[in-house]
Amino acid sequence: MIRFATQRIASVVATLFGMAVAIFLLVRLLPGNAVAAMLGPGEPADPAEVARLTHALGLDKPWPVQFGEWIGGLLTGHLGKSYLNDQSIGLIVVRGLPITLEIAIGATVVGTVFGVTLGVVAAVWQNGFWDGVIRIAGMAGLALPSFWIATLMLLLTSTAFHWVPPVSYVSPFKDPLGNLAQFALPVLAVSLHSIASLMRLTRTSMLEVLHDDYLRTARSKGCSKRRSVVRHALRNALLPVITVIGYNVGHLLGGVPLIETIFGLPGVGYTLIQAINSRDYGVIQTMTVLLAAVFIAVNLLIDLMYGVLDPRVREAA
Amino acid sequence: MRNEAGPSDSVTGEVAPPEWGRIDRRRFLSLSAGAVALPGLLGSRAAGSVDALAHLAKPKRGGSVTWGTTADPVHLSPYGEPLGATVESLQMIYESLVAWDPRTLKIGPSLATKWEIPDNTTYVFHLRPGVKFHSGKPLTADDVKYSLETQKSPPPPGLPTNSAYPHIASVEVVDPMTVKVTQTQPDPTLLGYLAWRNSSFIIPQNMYASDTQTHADGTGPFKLLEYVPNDHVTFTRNTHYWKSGLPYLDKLTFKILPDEPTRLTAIRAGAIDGTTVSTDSAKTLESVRSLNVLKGPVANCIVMYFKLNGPPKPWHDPRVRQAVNFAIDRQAIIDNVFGGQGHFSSIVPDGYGDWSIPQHTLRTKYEKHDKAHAKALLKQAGYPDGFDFTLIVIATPVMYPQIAQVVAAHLGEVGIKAKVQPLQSATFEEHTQVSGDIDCALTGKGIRDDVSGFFVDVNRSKQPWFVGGWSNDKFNNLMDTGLEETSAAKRKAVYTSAQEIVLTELPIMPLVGYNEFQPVVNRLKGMYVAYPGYEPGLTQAWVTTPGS
Repeated sequence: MIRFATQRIASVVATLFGMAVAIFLLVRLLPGNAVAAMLGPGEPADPAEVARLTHALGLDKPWPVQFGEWIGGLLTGHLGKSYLNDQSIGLIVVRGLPITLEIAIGATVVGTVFGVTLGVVAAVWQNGFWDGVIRIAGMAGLALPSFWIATLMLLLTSTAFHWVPPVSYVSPFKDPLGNLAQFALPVLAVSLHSIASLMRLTRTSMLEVLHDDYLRTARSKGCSKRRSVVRHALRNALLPVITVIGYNVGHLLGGVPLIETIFGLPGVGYTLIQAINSRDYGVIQTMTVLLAAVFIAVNLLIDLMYGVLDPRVREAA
Repeated sequence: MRNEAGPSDSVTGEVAPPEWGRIDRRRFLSLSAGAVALPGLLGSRAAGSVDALAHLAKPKRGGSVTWGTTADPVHLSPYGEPLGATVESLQMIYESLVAWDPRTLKIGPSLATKWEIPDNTTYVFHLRPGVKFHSGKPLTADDVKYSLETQKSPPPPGLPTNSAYPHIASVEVVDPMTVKVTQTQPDPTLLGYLAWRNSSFIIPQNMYASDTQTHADGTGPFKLLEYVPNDHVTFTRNTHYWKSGLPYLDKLTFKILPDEPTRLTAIRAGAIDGTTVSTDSAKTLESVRSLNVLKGPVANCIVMYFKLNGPPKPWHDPRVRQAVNFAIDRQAIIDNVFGGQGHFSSIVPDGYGDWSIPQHTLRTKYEKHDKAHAKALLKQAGYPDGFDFTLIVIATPVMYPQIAQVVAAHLGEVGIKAKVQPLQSATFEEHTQVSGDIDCALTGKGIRDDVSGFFVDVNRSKQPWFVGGWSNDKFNNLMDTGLEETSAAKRKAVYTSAQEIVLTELPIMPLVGYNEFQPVVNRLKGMYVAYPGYEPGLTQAWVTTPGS
């Protein structure tokens, strides 16, 4: 198990480094220019001023030097400053991270609980009315983009109930109910895709397991249907589902920036969009690596859990 | 120019049901946004409220307002070529020596009660007694000296430049309440620069020694209470404001909501008290009883740039530029993109004092839609079958690509094929500001401190890359004269002639100006759409229910 974990961690470090290189290059290959974005849409820029700003931001240094300085800063905790407002990137991250994590964790929990539950119900009552309803809803959840659903939710609540979530961020520690009111719709919008995909996978996986011999044996030995489904079938059916949960986190994190923008939540995702629009390289790089690290960490955790849940994986490792 | 809510600005009549069987392009775009279709399905409602008696209501002290803004200020430092979203907040906190009347653009006293111009390079400002900064420090001439000197090359954040800075040689403290500003050369833009309040705020001496991002200290009607980046900026009333009785509001919050459908739903639900929306969105709010949709012209103008230097291109020939000008039906742009809420525009936007060429002259002479004449010009220039070019345009706000598509359609009718290429803002600015890698570009221009500011793009002294290659001796002389002349009447003659040259030779081509829409909740009174932009009306607005 230790060797298994060590191997996974080593591959994570290598993956993160590779992602950092890719992010660094992609940002600089983006059309548009950080200095031009700072100058804004006013009168044409004086070339001497452009050169001076480029030098002041360190953008005239060779790319390997810029990369080295950035990575060195990441590893030592000096994340640099935003081009736009000279603010510490660390501060920007700390400010936005709780909001993004609340949406991501909330959506993962909601997606998992409802997805798995609905998948079990659909499998147990295969080809029944509720199976049909759940499967159709699942297709809609996969097909409809989360940002469109979010906009529709806001439109519905504002016109039918004259209500929208609180417009300014409400901390869960100061006002838990207000925070719940603010995050309920964003979490739901982001989690719908996750619910749908986990429902479908759980259903498929459960159907395979429900027809296995060991389950028939358990039933014939007097095990109740409920116990056999929950205690025996579900645990085996969840193995592939857990893998998809990790994948869904990445999909979720990709949707969070738009959701934060739609709901006016100043999280990491929304800040990242602003940084991309203004080519704030340091903010883009650091936040993207951070989000990538979160995704990788979640999947590492899932890989490790897999080893715990499935003895075959532990022994093979 | 009327830009205040009143009987003729309010909406009357019923809302027509959506025409599902016939959807034009504008309607399709509205449906795609998703935020405009459902209200029609939910049933038409009676006309929106008519705020006909607002001007008779007596203002009430107290209450708070939340205004939905479109972008984050990024920081609240007063200098450094701040972004528009930054200036929007700064204008609540800080003031300058003089100020525009937001409706007439007449320059009047502000922190200076009067000024003298003893010669054409000297201004003497007499400060208003009794004015204090929010910290309690009295305003003195030393603060003005520090402010004017720091504005020229400000410390970070922001850019260390000030492109509008007038030719100030020195600022002298005559006495604690008198400042003498001496210029390096005659420059009539000084008062406009100060009134514009874009980078000309008066701050306390040595303010930049502290953290200007978290510390704001102005003389304005509101004090900064809190700035949470990407979320909101909150102000409280300056109880020692020198304008007696103002502001009425106790608290003002700018909530940052960049997504327009989100702002629409928020104002429908009453989560915000006002915001700015597009023409299409304003139409969907017309039937909402709880809202009053204000409208008014703003000092923005849509323009097209041609690249006049570099390898030989059709644009070098003024007949080609004129052909493009006459091929475009500006009224169609106004009708299709702005719902009829717009006007023709010279390079100086309509409503900027009395500087602009009159609408009638623009419509019948300089910007007349005449396809036959356009085709004849193309034939004379050697392009009887037209030509192809790429038109880059900023992707958002969506009105820009919409206008570009309409322009492309009109040009196609005379044989000119325009490939419209929407670009994200940083990419667009890289092309138009830095590399010069364009064929033709379509964008917008905002207000300027002085009429001369509208000619910067074609002023040879600036040598902008994309008009290098165009020169007109008479125009160049007018530019020099306009900056040396201090008589308003003579300057008007100068800049009228300059506009006529630009509209004839078209080194850049103005298209249209438009109205802006600001829906507000019924309890918010005294608000209006300000021609220079931003929301100066909030400094004198009030709410009918201060307890809410």
